[in-house]
This record gives sequence, C-alpha cells and structure tokens, in this order.
Amino acid sequence: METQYVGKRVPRVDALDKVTGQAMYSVDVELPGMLYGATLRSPLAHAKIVEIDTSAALTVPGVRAVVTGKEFPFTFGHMIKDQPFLSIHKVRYVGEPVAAVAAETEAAAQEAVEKIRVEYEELPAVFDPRKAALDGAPIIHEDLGKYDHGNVYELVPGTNISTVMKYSRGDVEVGFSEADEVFEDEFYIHPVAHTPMETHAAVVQYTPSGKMLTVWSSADAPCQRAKDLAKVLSLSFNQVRFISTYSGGGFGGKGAIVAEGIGVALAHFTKGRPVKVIYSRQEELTASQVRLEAYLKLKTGVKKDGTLTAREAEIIWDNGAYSSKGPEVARRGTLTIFGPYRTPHLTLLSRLVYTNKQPSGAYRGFGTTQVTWACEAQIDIIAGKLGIDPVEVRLRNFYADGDPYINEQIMHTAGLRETLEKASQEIGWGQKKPKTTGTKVRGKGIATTIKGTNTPTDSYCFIKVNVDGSVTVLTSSVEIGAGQKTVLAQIAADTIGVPLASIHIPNPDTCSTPFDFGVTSSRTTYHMGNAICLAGQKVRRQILETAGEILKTDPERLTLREGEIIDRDAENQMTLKELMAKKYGGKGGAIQGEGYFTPAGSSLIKAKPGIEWMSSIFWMWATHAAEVEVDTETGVVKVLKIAAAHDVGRAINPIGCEQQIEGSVIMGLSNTLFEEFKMEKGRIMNDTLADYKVATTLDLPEIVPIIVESHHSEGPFGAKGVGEPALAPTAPAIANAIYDAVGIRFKSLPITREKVLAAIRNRKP
Amino acid sequence: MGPFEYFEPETVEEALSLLRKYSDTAKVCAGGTDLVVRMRKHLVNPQFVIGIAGIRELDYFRFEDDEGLRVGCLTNIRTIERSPQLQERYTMLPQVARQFGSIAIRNVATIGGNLCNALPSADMAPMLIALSAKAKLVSIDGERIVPLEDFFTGPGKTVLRADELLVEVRVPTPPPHTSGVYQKYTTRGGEELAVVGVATLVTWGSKDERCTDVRIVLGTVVPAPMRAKEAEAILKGKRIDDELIEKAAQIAADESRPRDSIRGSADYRREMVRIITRDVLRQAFERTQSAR
Repeated sequence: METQYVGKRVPRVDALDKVTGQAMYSVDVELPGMLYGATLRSPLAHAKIVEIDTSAALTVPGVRAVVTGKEFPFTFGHMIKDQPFLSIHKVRYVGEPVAAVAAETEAAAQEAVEKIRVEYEELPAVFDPRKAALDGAPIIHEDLGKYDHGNVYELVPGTNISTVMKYSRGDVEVGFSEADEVFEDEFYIHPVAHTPMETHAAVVQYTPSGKMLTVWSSADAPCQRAKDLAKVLSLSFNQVRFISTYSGGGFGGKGAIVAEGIGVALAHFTKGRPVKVIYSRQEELTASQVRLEAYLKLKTGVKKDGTLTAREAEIIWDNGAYSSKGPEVARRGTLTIFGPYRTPHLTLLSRLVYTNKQPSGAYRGFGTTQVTWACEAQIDIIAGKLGIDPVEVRLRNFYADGDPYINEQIMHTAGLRETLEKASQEIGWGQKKPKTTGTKVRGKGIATTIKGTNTPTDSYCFIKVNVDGSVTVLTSSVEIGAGQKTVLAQIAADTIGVPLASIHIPNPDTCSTPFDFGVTSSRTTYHMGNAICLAGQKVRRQILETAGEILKTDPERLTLREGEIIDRDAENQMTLKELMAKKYGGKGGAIQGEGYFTPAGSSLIKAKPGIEWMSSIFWMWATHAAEVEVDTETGVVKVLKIAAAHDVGRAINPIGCEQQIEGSVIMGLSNTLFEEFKMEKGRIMNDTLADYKVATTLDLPEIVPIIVESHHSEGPFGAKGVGEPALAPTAPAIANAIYDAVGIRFKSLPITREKVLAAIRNRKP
Repeated sequence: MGPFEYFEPETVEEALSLLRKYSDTAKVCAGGTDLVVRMRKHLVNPQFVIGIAGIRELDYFRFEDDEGLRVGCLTNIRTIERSPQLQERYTMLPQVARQFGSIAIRNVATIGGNLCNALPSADMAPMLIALSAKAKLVSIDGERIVPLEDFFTGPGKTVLRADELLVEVRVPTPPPHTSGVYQKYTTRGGEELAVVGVATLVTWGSKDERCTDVRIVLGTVVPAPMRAKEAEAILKGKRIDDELIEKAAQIAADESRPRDSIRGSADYRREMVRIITRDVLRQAFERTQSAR
C-alpha cells in the first residue's frame, strides 16, 4: 500500500507545543482552590512507628489537612497489594511517606511537615537481597501471606520472597553431559534511577458529595491506575478519573502510583479542594522507584563448535520495600535470560526478594536489560575460551524464522541476523586494531538482545470524523515522550486517507477515552496502531459509502486520499470537508468508528498448552556494536562509537525510531559507566543530580542508529516496537569492548573508572 | 528554606554596619549560587541575609602598575573568563574561569563568593594562591590584607571575621617567562565539581634553562587549598625533564590528603593528583618554553 505518512520522516506533532512551552505537564495543572502537598518521609530503613504527633503541624497558618496512615489506612499494589499510601504501623525504607500535609502554599506545607514528630522503634534492616532471602533474615512484610495478589505470583509467606518463578525445558543434565565445555559465571547489575526531566507529580481532587476522585498526572497507563485506585478505595471505575497530561519522560518510572498516592490520601481530607503534589529531585531519586538490581548465575554448556547444549539460570531480584511491577519482571521479564539462542535444555529459578530499600519497578526493558547483561557477557566469555569470533558464536545459535521458542512458540520475523551483520559492519568488526600509543587502548565489543511484549493485551480506540472533515482520535495511549501521538496520527491519516494535519489526538481521560492496557512493553505502535487501523477502516468505509450516496455512484469506484474523494475515472470528485458539510452541515453530525485490537487468538502465539503466556505477538531483536578507548592510567573508558541495529518490523516514523535508539544508547552508556547509588544504612547519599552522575552530552560517542525492517504480518503496516530493547545490549557491548581492549572481564555494573583502574593494576603481568 | 530577613545595602559602609550588628546570625549573599543551595538544604539557616549584589562599586577589576591586578569581590567569573585584558596579562585566570561551573553559574557566581565559601573544591582558589594573591578584608574598624595562602583554614572556614567583608583580591604581576595552568579532574563531562584540582605556576630563568620558581597548589584533595611545597622544592632551580616532573607529581600526590567520599575513594583521588599534577606541570613548562 502506498502511504503518505507511514514510513516517512514526519516531524513530531507535539513538538511545537513543547518547544513553545504550551504543552501542559502534571506540574502545570492549576485549579481553583488548589492546595499544595508536602510529605514527611522516614529517616530509617526499618522501624516500628510508636507515635506520631501532628499537633504542631496543625497550628502552622494555612495548613488545611495533616494525614497519616492512621487516618488513611489503605494500601495499593498493581501485582501485590503491599504498599500503604502512608506508612501503617511501620516503615520499610528510608524515604517512605509517613505523613502528608496539604496547605495553602508550598512553604506552609513544608514548614508543617517539619513540625511533625514521629517516634520510631528501629528494627534490624536488610539491604542485600541474597541475605534477605536467607532463613533468619529480618522479615519485612509479616503479613505477606494475607496480601491480595495476582494469582500468577507465587509468594512465600513467612519469608521475604515475594515471587518465585521456575521453568525447565528438556533436561539440563543431559545437555551439560553433551557439552564439551561448561561455563559458570555470576553477574551483578545495579539499581539505577529513571531520572525523567519531569519528576513525579499529580493533582488530585476528591469530591465527597459525588464520590468522584479525579487525578491529573503523567502516569503511563491511566486506565490501570484508575482500576487499581477504584479497587483499593472501594469506588467504581467510573468514579475514578485519570486525566493525562503531557509527560516529561517515563522509562517505566511512571508505571506505578507514586505522587498520585500522596495526593489521593490528602484529597480525602480537604473537603473537595484539589491538592498538588510535586516530587523534588531528591524525592525522585530516593523515594519513587528504581530499576531492580539483580544477582544472576548462569551455567552454560557448549560444544567445541560453539553450539549451546544447555543453560541453567538462577536469579535473585531486589524488590525493594514494595512490589510495584517487580513480580512481573521476575516472572516474565526474566525469561529472556537465555538470549536469542536456540537452547534445547534449560532451567530457570527466579526469585524476587524484599529488602529495606526504595521500591523497584519497571525500567526500560522490564528485566531484559538485566538478563541481557549476564547472557551477552557470558557469550563473549564462551567465544573467547573456544577461540571462536563472538559474532560467529552468536550466528551459530541465533533463532531464525521457524525455530521454536522456549515455550514452543514458532519464531517469526527474526531480523536478528541482519541486525548483527549491519551493526558489526558499521563498527568495522574484524578490522585490525590501531597501534596503541601512550596509555590509551582501543577495543570493540558486540551484544544482542531479544525482547517480547506482554501478550495478549488489549487496546481500544474511537475515531470521530467531525462535521468539518477534521478527525479526532480518542485513545488512552499517553504521549510519554517517545512520539506515540505522531506515530498514531500517521497510522490514522494513512488508514483513513486524510491529511496528517487534520488529525487531533487529545491526551487521555479515562472518563471518555476507551480502555488501553498502557504505554508499556513497547506495545503502543503495534497494539494501538492496530486498533486505529481497524477504526480507521470503518470510518473510511462509511465516508466512501456516504460519498457514493451523494455522488450517486458505486462506493467501490471511490477512493479517499489526503481528504479528497476521487472516482476511479476521476469524473466525480469532492473533498471530505464538502462531503461532511453536505451530509451534516445543517443539523450537525459525525462519522464515527471504534477499533478493538487484541492479539489473543492469533495463530502466531500458539505454544505449549499452559505456557502460552510466555509467547509474544512480536519479537524485537537488536545488536549493539561498541568501540571504546580505555585509558590504562586513569581507568577512564571513553566510548568512541556505538552502532545500534534494531529490527522494528517497519519504521512508521524513522526519525522516532532513531531517537528511541539514540536515547537508549545514551541511557545505557550512562548507567553502565556513570550512574550508581551510594548508600549508607539504606540511605542514598547522592540524592542530587550533582552527585548521581548521569552522562552529559560531552560523554557521548558517535551513535549510529540502524533500522532493520522484517515486516510483521499482523503489525500495523508491518510495525513491531522499539522503545525498550534499545537499551539492553548497550552495557554488555561496552563491557565486551573493554575486555577486547584490556583483557579485563567485568561481571558487575557499573564499570566505574575506579574499578577499571584497580583491575588494570591487579592484572597479572 | 527557613524564614529570614533580607537586606540590600547600597554601600560598603552600610553593609559593614549590618554585619557588625548581626554578626554570626547573618550571611552575606553575592551571586547566591552556593548560599541559596545551602539554605534550601537547611545546611545554613541565617536569620539575616545581606545581599551585596547592589553595591556596584565592588564590581571592577583594574591594573595598578606597581601592584598588579585588583579585582573587586563582586566581579563575576564570566567577566574574568571573557576579558581580553586578563587574557593578555593574566592568561591563567581566564583559563581557570573556563572550567568553573556552567555558563549560567559563571554569569552570577563572584570571585569573592567563591573564596569566602571556602569549599575545598573552589576553583578560583588554587591559581590565586599560586599567584601569591592577597585578600583585602574590611570591617567598620578598618582593613587588613591577608595572603590567600593563609586565608583558608578548613572546609568552609576562613580567617574572615563575622563582621568583615572580603572586598578585593590583589594579584601581583607574575614575573616574565611565567605561565600557569589549572586543571580539574571530574567524573563526567560538562558542569562538574572538581574531584581533584591542581594549579601550577612556573617561572623560567631568563638566562639558563633552569626553573627559577614554581608553585603547585592542590584543591579538593585537601581540607583547604594548599601548596605542595615538597614537590615545588624538588623542581625549583633545576633543569626540568620528564623524570623530574614525574617525581614532583608523585610527591604532590603524597602531600595531598584526600578522603573517601561519595565522589571518589581516597586512593583513586591521590592517584589522580599525581596524574593531573604531572599533566599541568608538563603543560606549564611547555608554555613557558615556547613563549621564550
């Protein structure tokens, strides 16, 4: 199909609003009578609350409400209902909200918070998930067994283990006995912050008369948040209204109730007045959520020619104090530990463990980033030991179309090989190294990844062709900052046959926009794109039928392109605007259509009964190739270039794909070499962006994004997704390049210059 | 930030009488880039803030033939960075200023504020000490001139009394064949606090190949900016080669007193002192030689 917009380098539809400062973010929401919230946070990692004295806070002029867990004793949790809005009886991490104040000004709220006195009885705390998993560790959630939870999450009451996931295929003992070499390695990947430009913020209003709770926020899945809040507050879904603002970056961090929770608690005590809660950067870094840290053991059997025979993985994930989306990361996100490789025998034990730290949650990649780190570093170790080129080892084991996945799903649109070929070619793989001068040594590394999407999940949309021919697309897909609106508008414009400029996609409002699973799991282009295709085809058909009536011709002879209705012989023609005026100009009216998409039932996701949930309606593949320069005197690793090739199915908007890839490479480089929480007794010591080091523009290499298009048979115009997997291979590619440069294998992240220098000093001569 | 009363004096005399009156309970605010951050974090909670930015007579620099350069305390870092006259006669000062904060910070941060805050990582201090600069401190009772080398007494601590104001920095004219280089080591590119800062000033003899004078001043890795005098001693009066530079750099590293902190371990920072000292010495010697 010839397209006007799909596949074209279309500028972002939200760009003008954003660069002119007109886009409204959650912090910009101003309402009549609005109060400001502030939060008192726990200074201790694990303690009983003996007493809270709020009397002095209540005397501060302008204070309208002071709330603790005693007044608002509710808990929430999307997967495991374990998190209080405000601490109830005990605190479980430094930074946990203990009390909140709503006041006429931010200053009054802050002053009042400082006047709340809390008496604690400190409890032993545990920060290492490996220790927290042992018998005798301090128990963080005594009532774990009583919590409501998704029935797929296997809790272990009486311990700190909140999810256990076991899976085996074949017989690993057989696989290891068939191997010529068996490799056993342990890896560690650290927690990192999402550091969105826009910190968490929300405005919440609760009108007691109508029992209506309204939340303005940039949450990435407004329908899920509304559903969760309705359930825990015993409201009906239509009494909870999420109004989405523009988002200043999510990366998974906006995938839970965060600032919204403080607002919800306060709004119940302000007699209908809305409350605004804005997280400071310090709160964002210490009391929102982080990427799950993980300890990964990987045992792999290989034949001399590099063929994998068996893999055994054991992972301990750090849940932090509360679950957020940790359980699903530990269950589904964990599966790609085996990488994009055919492996006949495998076994996996994944455990998610509570610690007295900031909650962990979704972070770009949803577990894939963590497991790819281990998988891809070990593939390089294997290649080195066997004396086979790392590219070659990968090619020998890669999934190709028709291969069975670990649950017997048949692999399709595997553009993996092409990503490897293109990325390695771009980096000059196999070329002779330049001669080292002075203290700087160069090396190259490569890493691949496989990432699926949560399957099946649903998306609905509603399209209105208005009386003047303009088009409104109603969806609950948030513009998280990745270009969702532009991609969806491109799909709508080409499907209906109207100019892109005639399409408007308002921000979601759960009262009026239809259900969507959320902007998560790299799913929006594929799922909402498909829903828009279905709705777009419906309205297009109605437009042509109406035109047939008016032009007194067979609709089959008509086509709609760029808002022009043209007859096959070009005898009759009219614009969509003229058509709508003729049909509805008098009394008004519109042409409307809905689209519902679910991948459920697709033959593409058939698999072994009982474990179909491991299937993905589309698989995303990527290869990153990195060249680094290591200064052996200072330990400084300078990344010179990263070539990042991604199979996106089809690029609806190549600019958007390139930006996703570039942004991911930057994020990956930053958390591989720079970002690290420095903790003392559970307190994050580097709680500012001066000391929590995010890479700056000056630290960046040449980035070459490469788009590979494998054309998914059921994707909208062949598209898949790109948001998450773009990050996963960056860390192992850099680590593998460092190994190539100086012969030092890093198995623990981040790779700071201090660690590099220490390792170089300790290197055997 | 706690509540405070704010004054905006228009003259030095007015500022000094406020300082005498409020003494320890007041803080002087020039550019505010350090003070406001510290107040927000409740690290300081002054009852009174004396904003001196309006005292325009303190924003100047001029050259006095016999005594060198005089810089008013309100001169901002961006002015120092961009002045063609300073570039011509005190090249090393714009070279320091370029590494200071970000452009936005340099536009408001002042030389007086940077010195009086006395952070071990203050970028302006090491080179000014290397240049034997002095500070003019005034109070209602009169004035005193203190060499900057003796000005700092510890992290955040100086000899400045609560009723005194640092109004001017005096920098003697460097001898001929002198060049200075400051370099800071940071853990990422862009606007960063120094993890190690080293300034060096080298004077070359006019007749032979000997180094007649040298200063090596360490910042950040010491409680207060400090000359590495033992390292200086082995260079002074010598013919300089790379071996001697390496040796001096090692001695400077041994003289440094870094701590373990969230910004770096003591051992790593000490090693970076060696490398940065070596690099700035090499650059300074190369510059003086090429200038001769």
